[in-house]
Amino acid sequence: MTRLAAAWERWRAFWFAPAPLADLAVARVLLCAIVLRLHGDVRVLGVGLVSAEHWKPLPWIEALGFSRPPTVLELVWWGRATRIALACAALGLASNLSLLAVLVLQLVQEAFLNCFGKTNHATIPLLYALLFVALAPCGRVLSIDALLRRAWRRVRALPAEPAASCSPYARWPFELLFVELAAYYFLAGFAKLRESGILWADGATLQYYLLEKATPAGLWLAEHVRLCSALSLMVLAFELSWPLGVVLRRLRPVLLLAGLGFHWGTITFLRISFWPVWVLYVLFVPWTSLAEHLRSAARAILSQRARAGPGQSA
Amino acid sequence: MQGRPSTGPGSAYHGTARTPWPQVVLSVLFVAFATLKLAEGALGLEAWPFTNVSMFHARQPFDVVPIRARLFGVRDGTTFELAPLDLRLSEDEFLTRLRDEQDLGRACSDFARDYNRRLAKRGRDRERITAAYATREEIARPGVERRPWRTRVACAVDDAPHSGASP
Repeated sequence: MTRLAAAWERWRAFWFAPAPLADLAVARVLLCAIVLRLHGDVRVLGVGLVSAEHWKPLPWIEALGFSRPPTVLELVWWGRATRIALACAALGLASNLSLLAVLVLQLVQEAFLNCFGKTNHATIPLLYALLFVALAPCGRVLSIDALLRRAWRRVRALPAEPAASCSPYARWPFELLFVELAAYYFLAGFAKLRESGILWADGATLQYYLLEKATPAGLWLAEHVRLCSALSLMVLAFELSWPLGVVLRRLRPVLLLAGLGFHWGTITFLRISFWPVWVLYVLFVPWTSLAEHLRSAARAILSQRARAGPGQSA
Repeated sequence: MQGRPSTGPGSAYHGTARTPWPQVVLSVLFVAFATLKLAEGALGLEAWPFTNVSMFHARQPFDVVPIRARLFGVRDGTTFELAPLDLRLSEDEFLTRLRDEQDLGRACSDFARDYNRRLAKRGRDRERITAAYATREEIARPGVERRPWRTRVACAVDDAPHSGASP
């Protein structure tokens, strides 16, 4: 095998090694729940209440005909359409198409929120996650699609499909989402270094924002410049090390735990939540393996009890 | 994470069979995605949804003092603070204007008029504010030995041009 062919095989093994379809189905449902939670408040509806003079549409939003902000009534309809698409996607009815519809509807509504001269970064990885899962076989199991497929084969008296629990196309959405998150954090760290150099971590910048945001914990921290500096260095190390997790899979749990710590810190000290980013970590939980572990643990406990039962009664 | 079945030289996956076309198409997508991410970082792209995620990236040296900006309205003789949500703006969008715009009177008047206009549109004219003012103040910073300043500007609440008075 030539070197190139070997590299190609390694590439394929990285992206297309068979993985459980159930994990992808769980990801589909979780993503729907996250988007539904985003629609739980009035954040998008608020766009219709903002004065038109604050409206600075993105070029492609203007091209779609929104040279003025959408009205509240229009936004209500966008919200309703999103909820219908979400329900279909979560139940697995025309799974890929429904999830793609969710993506398009959500993309436009998130774009509305970015038409006031300020870029919001918090939901960008979520949109990518929707795209990746929508392009994968996310409705092959745990879906109405799967039930319909089975029923159709029965009606047509076709031989039953072999029950596939794994697919070579069930892994890549998680891998690519990790690449997106790695790029997201890395670019944030890189922008700091490019703009300010290592002096960004001297504690002054963090102290400034702590004073500005003025949370009780933040005001306490602002008094301790050395601690501010140490935390700033940790932030840079955390953000810049994410690309390592793309190739070193064993590093991912560490990075995800560090990510939770990082976001806890920004919530506590700076009142910055970014929950649509860190909630995506739940997609990296190996649900199928977890369920298998739980099942075997339950079986072990039950058989232990069954063995102990006769002895106890005697 | 994702404890999915691994592949190795001994696994059933590993083989030299011809690559299925979806894998080729997806591989092109992966490369395109990685290129996009590199471009976002290298070119400093900031055109939503493309972003170089440049948040809090500018250094704020120890002698730069943070500024707090607030907007107040008066209704029935009672003064109350107007929050970004009252104008259906995010905190960032609100502060970008109230704190960073050079003409505080203008920014403040725009917000106050906008607040009243939206109340009128919803038929809640009785809740309109009769006066408004904005403040900008330096926040004392540990290590900076100077007395923080504070400024207060009156705002126009009706659609006539604002007076720009600074009481």
